[in-house]
Amino acid sequence: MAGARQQDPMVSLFIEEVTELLDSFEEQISKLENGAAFEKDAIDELFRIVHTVKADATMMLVESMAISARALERILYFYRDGNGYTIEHKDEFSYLLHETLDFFCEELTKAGDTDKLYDEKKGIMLGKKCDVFLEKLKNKKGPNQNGYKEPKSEEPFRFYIASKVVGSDNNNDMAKKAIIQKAEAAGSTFKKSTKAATVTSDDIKRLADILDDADALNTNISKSDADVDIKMRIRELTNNLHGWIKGIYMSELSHITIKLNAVVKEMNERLGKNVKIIIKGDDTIIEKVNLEKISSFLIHLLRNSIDHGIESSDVRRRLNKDEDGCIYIKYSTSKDGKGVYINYSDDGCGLDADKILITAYNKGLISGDANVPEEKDIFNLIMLPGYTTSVSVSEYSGRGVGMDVVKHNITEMGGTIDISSQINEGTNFDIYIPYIIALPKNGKDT
Amino acid sequence: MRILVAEDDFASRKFISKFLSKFGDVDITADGEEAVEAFSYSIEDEDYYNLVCLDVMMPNMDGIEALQRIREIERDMGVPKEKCARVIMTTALNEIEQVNTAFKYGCEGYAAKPIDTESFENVLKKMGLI
Repeated sequence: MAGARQQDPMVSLFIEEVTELLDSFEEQISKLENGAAFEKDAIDELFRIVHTVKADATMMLVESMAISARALERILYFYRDGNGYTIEHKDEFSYLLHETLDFFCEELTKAGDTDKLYDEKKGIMLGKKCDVFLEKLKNKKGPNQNGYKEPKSEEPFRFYIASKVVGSDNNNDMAKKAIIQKAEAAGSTFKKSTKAATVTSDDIKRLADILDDADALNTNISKSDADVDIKMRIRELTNNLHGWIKGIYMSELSHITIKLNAVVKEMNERLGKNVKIIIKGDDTIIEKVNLEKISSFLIHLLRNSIDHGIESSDVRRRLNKDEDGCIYIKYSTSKDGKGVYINYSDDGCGLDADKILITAYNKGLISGDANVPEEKDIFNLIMLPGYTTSVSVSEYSGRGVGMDVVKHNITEMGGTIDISSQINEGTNFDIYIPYIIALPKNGKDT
Repeated sequence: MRILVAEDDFASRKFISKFLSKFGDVDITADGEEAVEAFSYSIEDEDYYNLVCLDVMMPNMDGIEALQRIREIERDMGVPKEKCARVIMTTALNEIEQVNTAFKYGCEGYAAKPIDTESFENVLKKMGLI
């Protein structure tokens, strides 16, 4: 391509190396979360990863990453040397890890692109967040507290000053392209999963076609008078293909469980509530490309429930309800294998149909002379852009963006959402997200 | 601060010396050999350079060799650590191997040409030179 400038090899190397590091970073996080690794091993490994990312980012002058990596490194250092490898406040810690990972991924997509600026402010902010957390840890005396010293950062200077790339025509650069695709493919949080990374919805659709062909071939051959051995082997092959491809683009919803728990925990702490969350069926699988979108709208619903839905303990006691309040999420695969149902409910104050109608009318979202809609349709009004009932703006929700974003998220995936609610009983959201490729029907391959 | 520049290309030399003159007194040499010579005089006079910028591809002695010699001189003459020069390679050669070699021989910075002056300044700050 004429005029295409080759990317600086050092920048490419940086992108490659850090991409790999972030892959293992994510792997370690999930191992830590589902208890698949000893805390000691996970800490050692995370320490190595974060340390290297820090060194690389420092050298390449990616200050935003370097700052937050340095802060995260201090926490890991503390866990390792000051706390005898014990992870305290694990949920909050893993939330921080996710947040930092997201940020790293985001920043890495900007590497080598002079049009995009690193978000140093966010790096500093994340660093501060880590430091606040570290202070909290330090205030609790750990086993080796006395012998613990702050790490000294006496490392030799190594700075690489890349040339400013003239123009942003970096199409030749596979490394960079790959990472941008990664980010786009999987939204923001779990994009680092190597396997999911470069698979886009289009890729998945093409894979589906290939699988269909393979299935058809399998059926034809099993009907033919070919050798039994060959029939067996081809069937095995197509089955393997199904399984293997599924492994590439599917993921269990359990991947977002810890994040949802962390959101509830954090909000409980700030709002002085004690809302419980029960998640069922999170071994249900979903396409990785949709995982982040699902987690994003569920977090939105959680915030709404805890902030506005679930009443304070005082009020709940007066209403003869369980003091704490509870949110219930249940995932299940549809019987036809074509999608996933998500039932979300809370036992909060419920939606007030009359109030909603008035608000919608006042905001000009519905006209006054129309027939009074059915209750179900009234609830749907809250998902119109610009609708919000809460007068007070809280830290978590009520900023004017709300259910319309949830709805948008869901329709983007081709899904549906239905709301039902009873005053003082709670609110239910019945969500359906179709698979991009339907799962093979049970019994199909026998 | 005192700055030593080794650069054989006239245009680059002019550019870099003009850019660096904002930060201190710039001595200019046209190849590695001259640079090492100038450097050893500065040690004898105990009038240390704070910053040395070396092009890599130069006649007589290239930048990598000059870097090695400079570090040798500092070591042999027992220059105290805080007086040792910060060395930044300035070159259009930015192959990974080149860069790693340079870092191995003890430079602190490696700037690909054309030089991004903003980042260059940023690095000088990080090194505590400005």
